[in-house]
Amino acid sequence: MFKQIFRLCRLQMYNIFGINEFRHTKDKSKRKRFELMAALWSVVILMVVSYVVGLSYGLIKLGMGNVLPMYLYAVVSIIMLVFTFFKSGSVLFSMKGYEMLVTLPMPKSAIVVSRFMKMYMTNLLLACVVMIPGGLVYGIMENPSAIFYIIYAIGTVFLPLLPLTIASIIGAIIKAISSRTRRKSMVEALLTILLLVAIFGIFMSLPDDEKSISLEMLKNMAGIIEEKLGMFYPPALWFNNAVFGGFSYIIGYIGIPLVIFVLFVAVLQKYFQSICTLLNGVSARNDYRLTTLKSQGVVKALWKKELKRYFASSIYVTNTIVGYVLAVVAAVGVFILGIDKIGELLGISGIEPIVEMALPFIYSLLMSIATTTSCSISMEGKNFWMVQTLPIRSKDVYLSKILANITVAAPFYIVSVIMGWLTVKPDMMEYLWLAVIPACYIVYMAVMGITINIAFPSFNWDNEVQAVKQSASTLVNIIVGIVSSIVPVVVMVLLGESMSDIARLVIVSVLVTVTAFLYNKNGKKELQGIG
Amino acid sequence: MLKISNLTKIYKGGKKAASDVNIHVQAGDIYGFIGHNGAGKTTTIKCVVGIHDFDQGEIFVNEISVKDEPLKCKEIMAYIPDNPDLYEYLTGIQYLNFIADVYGVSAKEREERIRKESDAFEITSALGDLISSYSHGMKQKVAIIGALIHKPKLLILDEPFVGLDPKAALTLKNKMHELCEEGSAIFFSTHVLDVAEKLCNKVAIIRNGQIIASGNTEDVTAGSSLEDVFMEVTENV
Repeated sequence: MFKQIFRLCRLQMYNIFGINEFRHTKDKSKRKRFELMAALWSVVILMVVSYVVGLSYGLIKLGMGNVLPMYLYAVVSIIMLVFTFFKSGSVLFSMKGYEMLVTLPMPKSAIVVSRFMKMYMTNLLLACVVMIPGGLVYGIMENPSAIFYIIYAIGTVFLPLLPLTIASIIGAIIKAISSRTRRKSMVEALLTILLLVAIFGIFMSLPDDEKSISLEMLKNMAGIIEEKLGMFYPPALWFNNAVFGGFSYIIGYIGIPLVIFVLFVAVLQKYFQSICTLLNGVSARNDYRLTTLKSQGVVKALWKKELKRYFASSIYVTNTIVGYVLAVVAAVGVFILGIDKIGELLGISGIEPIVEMALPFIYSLLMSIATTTSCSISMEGKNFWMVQTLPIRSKDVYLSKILANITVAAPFYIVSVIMGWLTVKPDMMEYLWLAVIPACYIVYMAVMGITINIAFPSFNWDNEVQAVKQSASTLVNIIVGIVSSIVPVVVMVLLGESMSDIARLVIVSVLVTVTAFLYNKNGKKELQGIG
Repeated sequence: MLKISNLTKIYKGGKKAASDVNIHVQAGDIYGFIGHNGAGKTTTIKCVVGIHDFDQGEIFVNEISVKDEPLKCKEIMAYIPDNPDLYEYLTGIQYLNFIADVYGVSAKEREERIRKESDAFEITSALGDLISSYSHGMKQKVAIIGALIHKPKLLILDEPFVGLDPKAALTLKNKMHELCEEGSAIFFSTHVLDVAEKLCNKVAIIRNGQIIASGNTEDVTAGSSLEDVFMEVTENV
């Protein structure tokens, strides 16, 4: 069985990050796109490494070096858990290649393990990017024994196992529930979003007695972190104890995740085929009678098709709606807490005007994280030939995708703005900015998403996850979204409150101009030339 | 109706998929396009229908240049690929309605045509189901109905008989004759030489991106079977 797992894993590896395609393609523009993608990822990795080095240095200087390993371990684990449960079900139960694999003489557990290993490899990279620089900073500053490095390295290798197993269990349960319903994708998306909101709810409701940090508390901070993280995520504490000499704890942070993983594989392999069959099965009534049909315009027809495509994919919905959901969560949170409490929580007095000024940009930032348009062209996948061969203007295809994005964002935008109006001081200008700025950002990012996806299309995907989550287009879109919404806030804070209306007017004007320019530029790009 | 003049298509890797291809399909023609796997059939077809751009040559549909006015060309033609990857998240009727909207077919006309063609292909009762639940042949039938919905002047098909049951294949052949009698033209690729010989009044044989024989089927075969001619020209030329 291990040989089969190894073979399947090798097959999965060919597809990771498109390395195999890069090695063998003769298409120069494709190679350039891969190189650009590699450069982008290198920048992201460099930023993470710089942050981890700075954080590790700071914690050690503050006398918290003894909790640094567990701190990094816990943070990476939580990030992995949150980011993986979105996609774990789709990766584990992907129908692509399933029919071919189940007919081959190999155990189902080998298929399950190989699919799990695909997620493990990408997450191991994240673990290394965080844990290695942190460990090296600790090593240079604290000069531990050689055994520290050995235990630390083993811990890093096994780190993804538990969060990925938990995420896979959640993903499998969601898939198992949704597979028994008629509207599988919608149920799956809804369950995933509810779970995400619940996780945020738990985080927000964690008791936090400390209003501000005193010097006395700082001295005891290492103990507080150790205690709280140990309670919240025990494997992090076991890892910490092991690297600092408590070797028996190795059993805890390696043995327990391994046992859970083996049990998970053992259980899942029993139900794997039936879940896959249920997910693959589509009910057909075969009782249609032709009735009156209605005609409509091309853009409307494309827009409706686009919305149907969107809501037919749980991966597409959950990954692109998350920013809009968070905007509503933030709006409700600020409304409940009140702007004055935010200043208190941050321990900075007199911050209220800045929070009020930044509020539309906070909504905008959250709504800019992910757009439906950034992968909407890629999501055409094997269907792209249709829009290419039908008598449709490329401009109309892009417009329909932008309109679909705005349609998805609209309800979240309306709720966020209304909550914002109820939160800020009664002022017509504030009300206006709260409505106008996020609206401009939604349209700007929808158009920007198309622009980016035209530049970085990806039609040759096996699983929607690759188009929605792992493509260059999505990565560039996130970076552009964050930069576009943070830079104006920094400018406004620097200019001060007295200039805020003029600054906001300038920002809105720039957004409108850039949006119009990109929209016109995109309209000239023929569908034939994409890809 | 379709004039391909000196078409050359070179892929980005440097492979010459079509080299100086010349084909002339006239109204009323059923034109068969024959060749080995990888000979350049699909590439040529994709250049005509607007999926690929091309490096040299010209393509005219009803005397309109595909390069200069692609939308006008697409309005009067229809294309069915070898593997009909349709929108699986739509039902059959939603798909057909979408195609009718795109071609601007009135509600009354689309109703009549969908009823007529779906009954002919015996798929009416399945039109309310999602396309994802369809077999390959059912998808092919829906793709054909979609292609016929605006009565195209030029119908282009890539391996149209793959996956169709014998009755549906016969229905399609009848539809092809019907269209041609009404003044349209049909250009299709196939591996099934028997079908090409019986169905087509003209054929072209392509090898390594070059047309090695073309003309009236009777002239090309010259008393032999198309299979013999195909084997001879593809191996000896």
